[in-house]
Amino acid sequence: MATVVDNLRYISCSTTSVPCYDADRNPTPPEIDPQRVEEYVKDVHGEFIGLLIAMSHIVLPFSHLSFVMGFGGGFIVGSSVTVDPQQYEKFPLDSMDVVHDAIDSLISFMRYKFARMVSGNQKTASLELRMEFGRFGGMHVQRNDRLIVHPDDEPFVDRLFRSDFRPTSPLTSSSSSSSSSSASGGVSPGRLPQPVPNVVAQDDSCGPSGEQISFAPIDRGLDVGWPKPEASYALVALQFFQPQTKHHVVWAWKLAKTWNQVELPTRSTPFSPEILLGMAGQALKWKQFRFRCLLVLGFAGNSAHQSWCSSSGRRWPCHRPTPCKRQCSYWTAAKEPNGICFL
Amino acid sequence: MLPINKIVLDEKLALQALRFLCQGLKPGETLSQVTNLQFRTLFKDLLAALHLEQLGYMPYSLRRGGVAAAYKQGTSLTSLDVLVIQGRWQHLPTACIYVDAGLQSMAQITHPPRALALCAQMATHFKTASQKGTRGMRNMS
Repeated sequence: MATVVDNLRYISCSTTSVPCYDADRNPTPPEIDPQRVEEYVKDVHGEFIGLLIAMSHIVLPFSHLSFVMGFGGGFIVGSSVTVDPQQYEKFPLDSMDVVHDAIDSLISFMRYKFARMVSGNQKTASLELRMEFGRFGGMHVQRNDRLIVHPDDEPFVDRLFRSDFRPTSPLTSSSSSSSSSSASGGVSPGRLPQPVPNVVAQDDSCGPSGEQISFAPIDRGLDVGWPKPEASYALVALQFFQPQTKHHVVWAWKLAKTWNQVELPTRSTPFSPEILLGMAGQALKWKQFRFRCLLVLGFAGNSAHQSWCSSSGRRWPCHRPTPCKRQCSYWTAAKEPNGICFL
Repeated sequence: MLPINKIVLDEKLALQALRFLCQGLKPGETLSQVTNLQFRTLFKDLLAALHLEQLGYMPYSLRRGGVAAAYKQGTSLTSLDVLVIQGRWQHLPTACIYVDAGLQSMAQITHPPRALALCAQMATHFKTASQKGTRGMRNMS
């Protein structure tokens, strides 16, 4: 017997959009006092994050890398701290996992560096790192949203994009077919001119008037199978942070356009009941009772999870099996009404 | 995403889950009590624990899988109509496309044996603490 629950007051409007800096509305982000940020972070998270910030100030000047470490609404860029003012207000920095994941990403990037793989894989590492931080920092763009570029991605974009240009020649009419490989224009392997490093960095322009440059991450993204909108986002970010590249990445735009036309949309794999029960059982094992119910409800009620989430979550029990100091602060008493099991 | 103002549940387990989630909530609060990021983080960790992280599962897989599983339960036109109501589609053809794509994906996916074994183990763990009556448990029995 079907039960219809109308106008559930507990299911509120979706809040999928993370508070982000809107580059279109406000091209110049206001300055944030780092001291104020540190005080704020200490208030919210205690001395741990404050210590983290202090350590970053010590470590970063001695490093050869421009570390970018994100922690929720705030970012440590080099030795300076900047915070998106909107995130500062709306994103309460209550997700310690953001910090943990950021540190993990940082460590993985250092491994790249120490393994002497960065010179060869610098683009890969930078892209991965940029994407990681982009996701945490608000670059995760929903389908119907406009492009939102977080200002703290600027050093990334700057560093990444300066070494990834190379001049290209325009497509001939015979090669401009609709296939993705040939539509790469000046970036197809057989027609590629020799890379000229730091075309932008040399004279801070794109060379002679009318010269076109390709954008290597777009080529790479096509190869590795980026999600469809990623190329357009990367190009818009490039033009925002490097205005001199406007009107000079025509072929990259053409590639992105063709890519969007031929690339199939990526859809999530549907859960089978067996997998769902496995997930629910694992959640039960981790004492994530509420999450287990959400899994069941999402599966049986055909609901998307964004409908349940709020913009400011409260702390919940840490689910990770290995206890450690940083996770202990995550623990709160799990006040479940019926004890361990609700059934 | 538009807010959901109606949800149809015909599973006993799902109703119990909803009642559990609604306990102690104040008006205006959301069911999950977590942010989107927190939800995705835990979801990702669960997938990693079951060795399912490379198979394209995302939170939206819940809706897709639920629809596909419900459709597999009964393929008559009547049940499809019910499915359209449950899934909050406006038109039947849209729901058909959605269901077909989901069934195709389910048929094509291949799970590693280790992941299947873990899922089976966790499913047993779940069933020992749960009542019967879920859609999935009917299929599994």
